Amino acid sequence: MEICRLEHIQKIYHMGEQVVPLQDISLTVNAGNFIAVEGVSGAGKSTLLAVMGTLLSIDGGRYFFESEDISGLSDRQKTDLRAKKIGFLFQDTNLIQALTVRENLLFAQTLGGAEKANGAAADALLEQLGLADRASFLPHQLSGGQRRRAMAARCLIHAPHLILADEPTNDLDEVWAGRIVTLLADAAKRGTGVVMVSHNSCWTAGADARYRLDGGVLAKLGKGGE
Amino acid sequence: MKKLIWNNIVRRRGQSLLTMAITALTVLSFVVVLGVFWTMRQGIALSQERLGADVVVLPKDASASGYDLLFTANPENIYMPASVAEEIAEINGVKAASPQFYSQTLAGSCCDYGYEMRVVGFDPDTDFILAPYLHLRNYDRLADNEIILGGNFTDFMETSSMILGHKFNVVGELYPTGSGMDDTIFMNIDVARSISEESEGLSGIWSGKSAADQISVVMVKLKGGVSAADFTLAVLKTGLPVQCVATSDTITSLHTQLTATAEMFFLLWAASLLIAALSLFGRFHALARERRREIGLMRAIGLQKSRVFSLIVGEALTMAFLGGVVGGIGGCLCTGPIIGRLREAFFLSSSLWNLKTALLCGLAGVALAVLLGFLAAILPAAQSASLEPQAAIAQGELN
Repeated sequence: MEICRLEHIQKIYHMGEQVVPLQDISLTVNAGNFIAVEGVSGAGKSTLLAVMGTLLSIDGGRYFFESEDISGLSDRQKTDLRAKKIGFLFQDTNLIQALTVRENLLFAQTLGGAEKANGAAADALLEQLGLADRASFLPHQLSGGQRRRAMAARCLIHAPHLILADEPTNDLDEVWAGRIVTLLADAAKRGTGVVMVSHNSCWTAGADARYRLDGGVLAKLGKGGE
Repeated sequence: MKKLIWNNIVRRRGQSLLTMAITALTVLSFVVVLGVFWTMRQGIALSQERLGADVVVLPKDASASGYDLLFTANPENIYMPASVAEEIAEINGVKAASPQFYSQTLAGSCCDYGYEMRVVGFDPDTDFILAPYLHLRNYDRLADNEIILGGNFTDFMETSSMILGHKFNVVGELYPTGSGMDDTIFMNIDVARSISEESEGLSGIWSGKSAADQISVVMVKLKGGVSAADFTLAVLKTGLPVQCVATSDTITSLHTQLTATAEMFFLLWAASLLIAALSLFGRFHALARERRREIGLMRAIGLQKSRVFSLIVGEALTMAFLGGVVGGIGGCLCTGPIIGRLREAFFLSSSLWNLKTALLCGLAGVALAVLLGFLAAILPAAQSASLEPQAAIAQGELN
C-alpha cells in the first residue's frame, strides 16, 4: 500500500538569491518501508522532510498522500492530515514547554483524533523509552537525550501512517540511538512508512532503502548495509 | 485547550505574574479614578437635587461663603430678626421661604456628642427642605424632644442623644446629600432657640439677649422662571441687612473646579492607561514571539490556526481577568480612604462610596482589563496563528 509519492518535486527558497534545495525529487514510500536519506549538511534533507510533512509548500511537481494529490489541500486539511497521519521527530528538541512529558504525549494523541487521551498507551511508550520515572517532568527538567526520547514517544503515540525522523539519534548515546532506530524499524514492520534523515551512515544500515540527497536530486544508494 | 492555557500561565509563572501585575496596576488606577470622580460627581448632583433651596439669605455680617454654607457644617453664630423671613416671603417671585436657626453642640461636653456639630432648627410651618423626607417617613412634624440626623451620622445612630444637656429621641437619619446637611442635627426651630439660649456653654453668644426672635438664614425657593440674580436684586431694593447666596452658583463653581481637577487627573490617567496598554501589548507580543518555535511545533503536530489564536487570546484573557480582579479589589480598597481624604478637602459625602458603587467600579475595572487583554493579544495571536509551521520553527530558532 502506498503511503506517499513525490513526483518531480521542486522547492525554491527566495532569500536574496534563489536557493533550490529540492530540484527534481521523486520518491515513493509504501507501508512498511524504512527509507534512509543521507547527505551533507545543507543538502536539503530537512527541507525534504518538511515538504513530505506538508510543513512547506512545493514550487513544482505533485505530492500524493495515500494516493490523493494533496497539493491543493487547504491549510486546515493539511493540519488535520499531519495531526492524524504523520509523526514528526524533529532535528532540534521540540516539546511544549508548559506540559509535562506525559501531557505532551496526551496532547499529541488528542490532536491525532483520539476522543479521549489514552494514558495507558502513553505510559507504555514512556516505559519502553526509559522515561517512566520522568513522565511528570517538564521538558526543561530533562537532559538532551531524554528530551529526544520524549519526542520519539510523542511521534509514535498516535500511530501515524508516516514517520518523518530528522537526525533522530542526535544527543543520544549509542545505546539509546540504537534503540530509537530499532523503534522506528519496528514501526515500519507494523506497516508504518518511515523516512529517516541521517548524516551518519551507521544508523541507516537497517533501512530498506538508502538514498543520498545531493544537488537537489535523490540518488538511490541501495539497501541498508549495502 | 483550557488545560494548556492554564498550564502555560501557571508554569511560566514569572512571565505571567509580570503581565498580571501590569494589568492589576492599570485596573487599580482605573478603579480609583473612576470611584473617586463618580462619587464626587454624584455628590454634587445629589447636593443640587436635594438641597431644595435656590437661594440662602443670611445676615449681612455673616462671613460664611456660599461654599462653607452649603458644603460644611461649620456653625456660625450670627443672627438676624425672624421678621426678615416674613419680608423675604413677600418678595415677588418667591415660592417658599423658610427660616432656620443655627446653633451647635459643644466640644468636650460630657452630655453631648463630644465635639462641635451644627444644630439646625427648622420651622415646621414653612419648611420645604426636610418636608419631603418627613413625608416619606409619614411624619407630619417633629415633637419637641425629637431630632433627625444628617446622612453621615451612621456611627452615632442611637435611639436617643443628649444635646446641650437635653435628651432627644432620634427618629430618623436623612439621605446623604453631599452637603453640610449630612453633618447636621435637625430639630424644631423653637427647641433649637431655647436649648441654645439656656446652654451655659453658649451664654457668651446671647449675653442677656433673647434667641426667641432670631434666625440664622432664610431658605428660599423661587418660582419657575425667576432667576437668583433677579431675586437678589429685589432683596437689595428692600434694604434689609442681608446677603444672598445662590446655591446653583456655588454648586456650579464647585462643579467647575472639580471638572478641571477631574480633567487633569483623567489626562494623566489616560496617559498611564495608554502606557499600560502598550506594555501589555508588548508583553503579549514578546510572549508570542518567544514561543514562535513552540507554536510552530504545535502547528506541525496538528493544532489548527484557529486553536493557536484561541490559545494566545485565551491566555491573555485569563491573565487579564486575574490581574483585573486583583486590581479591582485593590482599587476598591484604596478608593475608600482616598475619598475620605478628598472629603476633608472638598467636604463631600463619603457615604456615596458604598458596596454597590465599589462593586460596579470593580466590575468596570475587570471589564477594562479583559478588553485591554483582548486588544493587546489579538494582533500577536493573529500573527502567530498565520505563521507557517516550518517558518515559525525556523524563526523561533532565530529568536
